[in-house]
Amino acid sequence: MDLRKLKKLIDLVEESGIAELEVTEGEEKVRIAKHVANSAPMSYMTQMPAAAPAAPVAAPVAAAPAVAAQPEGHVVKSPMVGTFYRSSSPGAKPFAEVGQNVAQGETVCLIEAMKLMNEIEADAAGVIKAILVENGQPVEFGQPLFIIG
Amino acid sequence: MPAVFDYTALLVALGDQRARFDVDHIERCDSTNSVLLARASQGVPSGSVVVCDEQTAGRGRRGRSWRSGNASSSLTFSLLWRLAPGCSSAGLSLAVGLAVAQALESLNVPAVGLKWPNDIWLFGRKLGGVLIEVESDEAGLGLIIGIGLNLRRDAARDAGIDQAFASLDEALPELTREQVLGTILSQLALRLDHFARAGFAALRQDWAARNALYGLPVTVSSESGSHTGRCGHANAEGALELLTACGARVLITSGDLSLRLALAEDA
Repeated sequence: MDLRKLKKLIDLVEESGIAELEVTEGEEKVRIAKHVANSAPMSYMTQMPAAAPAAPVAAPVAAAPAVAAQPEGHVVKSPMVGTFYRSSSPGAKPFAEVGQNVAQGETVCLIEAMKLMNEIEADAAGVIKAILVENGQPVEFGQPLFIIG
Repeated sequence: MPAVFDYTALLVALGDQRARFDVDHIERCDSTNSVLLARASQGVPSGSVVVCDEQTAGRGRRGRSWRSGNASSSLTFSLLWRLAPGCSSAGLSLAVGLAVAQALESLNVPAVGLKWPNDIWLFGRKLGGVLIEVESDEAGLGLIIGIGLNLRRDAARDAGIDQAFASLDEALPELTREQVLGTILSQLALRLDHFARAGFAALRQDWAARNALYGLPVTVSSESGSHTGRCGHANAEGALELLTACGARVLITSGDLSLRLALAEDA
């Protein structure tokens, strides 16, 4: 698979709401998964060889930008793949804002996957220091969502 | 005049699953999911059901409204179901849609289809929808499964619906809502048991056999953009495979799927 095609596929993942893309061409297999490591508006991809005994794939194309400084604290991570929502419905008050005190077990966001609305609770008490994902954006398993200090 | 709810007919339709449900009929509420969510936080058991004659603020995905009519034209209910700790919810939403489809088939409704993730179709039009809210705690997952089905045509309700839709009386003129509700609940118990044991992977073939848009050109749109391609099948986690024009297999976990009518652009 040539680099231009690979770049096109990466662009496709980047522009879309999809979390992961796998392409098989003959004996070649490429899997592109989306990672968003911080609150920088740009999301960037890493690309991994597939588990199959596949042909070698090209080196990662997108370089990671410098990591923005983040406040220290407890990181609330996404327990699943889905779409991140800060409120129960569009226009409704967000579950959590920066500066707000939250109790352990308090709902801080929704993650939707396949019309399953999952209430995500704070797994620590404290003040919301940062919200790392924009409303309506796709999130990955384990992706940091909030920092609670 | 309030509609009569025939509990005896419901029990008959529930059959040998009747002991697993506690059905409460109410005349009116904002949303059966909201009512049941409040009851769940007070500790009502798994199998609790709220069925409502008239839902005034039914919800769909992302705050979209779900138009309900009255007791004769719509069936609107929510079921609380608890899954043990360790159960994954992957594909659960599709398993629920499948259970509704299989329940209707057991009532001899022909041509029931599913549009990913879990819209219920009849004769190629939307018959009903499912919205599930999940709360997890140390006791496992608490699911509030909200289901709305069109039973009969209703001029007042239908005027506000902006898409092609079907009603169950097109296939089943003699239906009663108690019979439909009982049959769906009973099928849900069986499917959710199966799901809890073996996950969606075990139900995947049954879902695929009812995949209404399989092989057709579709658009998946979400807040973060849209995608076009041919509709594939759901994988073992319930994500939909979309086959793009350049041969890529894209996995979709969120978004609205719609049939793309401009077939020519796919050529």
